[in-house]
Amino acid sequence: MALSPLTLARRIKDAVHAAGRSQREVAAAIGIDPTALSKALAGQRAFKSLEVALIAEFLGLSTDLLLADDGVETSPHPALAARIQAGTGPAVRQAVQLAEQLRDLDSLLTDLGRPARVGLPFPAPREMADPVHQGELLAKDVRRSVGIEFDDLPLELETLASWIEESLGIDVCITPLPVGLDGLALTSGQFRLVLVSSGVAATRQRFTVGHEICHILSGDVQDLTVDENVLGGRTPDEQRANAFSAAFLMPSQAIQAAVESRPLDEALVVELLGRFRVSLDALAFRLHNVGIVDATGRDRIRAMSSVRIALRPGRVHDLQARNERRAPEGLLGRAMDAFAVGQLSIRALSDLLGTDSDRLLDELSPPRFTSEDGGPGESTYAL
Amino acid sequence: MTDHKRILFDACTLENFAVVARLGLLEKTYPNGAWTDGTELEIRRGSIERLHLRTLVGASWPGTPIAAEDPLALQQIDRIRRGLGGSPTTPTRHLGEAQIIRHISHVEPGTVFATDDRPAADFARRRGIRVVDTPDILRACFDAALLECPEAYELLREMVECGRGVAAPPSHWHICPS
Repeated sequence: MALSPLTLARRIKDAVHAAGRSQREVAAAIGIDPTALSKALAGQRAFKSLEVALIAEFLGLSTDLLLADDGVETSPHPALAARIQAGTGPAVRQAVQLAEQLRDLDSLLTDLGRPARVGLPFPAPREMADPVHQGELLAKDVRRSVGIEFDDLPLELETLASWIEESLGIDVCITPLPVGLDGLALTSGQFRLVLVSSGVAATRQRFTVGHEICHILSGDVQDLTVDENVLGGRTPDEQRANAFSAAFLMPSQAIQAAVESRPLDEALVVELLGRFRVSLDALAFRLHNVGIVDATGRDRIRAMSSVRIALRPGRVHDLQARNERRAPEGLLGRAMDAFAVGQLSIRALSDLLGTDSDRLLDELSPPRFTSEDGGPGESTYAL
Repeated sequence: MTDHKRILFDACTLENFAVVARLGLLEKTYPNGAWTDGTELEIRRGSIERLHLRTLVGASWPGTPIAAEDPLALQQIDRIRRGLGGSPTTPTRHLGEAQIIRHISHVEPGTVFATDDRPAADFARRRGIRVVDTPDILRACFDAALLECPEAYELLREMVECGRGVAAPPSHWHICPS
């Protein structure tokens, strides 16, 4: 239902009250007569767009909520950044800020009639007390639901991310962040996002992707879940997410089949590392958890440090993937569609891609000046 | 020769002429020039530190700012503003440009948008809006014999030297081809 003047007036009145401000203070802040504000709040005259913007600015309101259609839930969701605890490192702050930007873009695209694709319904975690077993079973159920059972996942991180977006309907953003955060998961309406720091090895990024997927599929994410260290989590949710990730990346049946009637020596470990593209630690724990090796065997594998292990297949990619940047593809596709028809400016695209808007515009639009119209030389753009 | 076509000015373009103290050129060339209350706010706020903008505060041209009041218009403006790169929590960012684009799209189709903000210009063109920038305006001033060659081009260079973000061709040819 369309936004009515009375609804807008009521929302503003509620916001003024909630902020503990008087109408006189608000009127002074936005530079209008208190009587004019009073009349607008009473529905006797309409609010101007500038007045609404200034009130939102003064009270710290979000315009998309203030101007939402009648009947749309408008209880202000707190800024994600507000959930970050004091003393949190720069990586978390930067990641949450980026997540907010991506959420805002999704919200705009949704308002413009370009909502995120509805993800396939996935099996919920089964009811059980043991979070590790729960994560294992969820991974198995999810693999089955997308028809891959025990198949290997794509080897390259980029290909894996695209596959997740296509198969699971979860956008994957990979971005360099300062040390101190592995990843976060965000849900907002139909939009589901995994954001992973590329400041670490590709194997860890890969594990984090799996970990964050579990948070989303398990409903752990009310709006945002931040994981500063995925491997250090001790809560049931974190244990479940780690178990899910290990089982998602390395299905037990696939591992069992690979090691069947073969000695678990260094050559086989190298083969498994290259095949599953996980860290030596992650593989060792997985082999232990599926009952192939005992704790001693696990620790023997963890201690392997030969040249062969160091130069295992995928090692170069593992190193190259550091500090790579990947925009969430679903969101990028929706943004490109909106850009093409003049719903979105180049700024939104360049923010998403982490690039300069002028340069991107140079690529996507004709030059301002050309020599064809009689003038000599190249065009320039002065700043 | 003056251009009686309706034209809505963005703050950056107004400032380009204010910084070289030649706002009179705009008034003569575009007597039907107009602005919105968001643009006026941007100019007013900017005038606190940039004194050259004070000539626009309370000036008779470009007249009473256009203001939108209908709730649907407010929603449309906010979506355009966010599309231009403003966020829900920065409500005045890109407000002026958004008001102009919405006004031209829904109230006065055919009106020209004057801006030197490349992303906003590109955005507006994709919506079928005719956009002009400072080099276009200087060319119009030259065509109207309000400026000679190379004065029009030199004015553009002066704006650049004042730190304004204007597209500057490498020679006068594009501005005053004589």
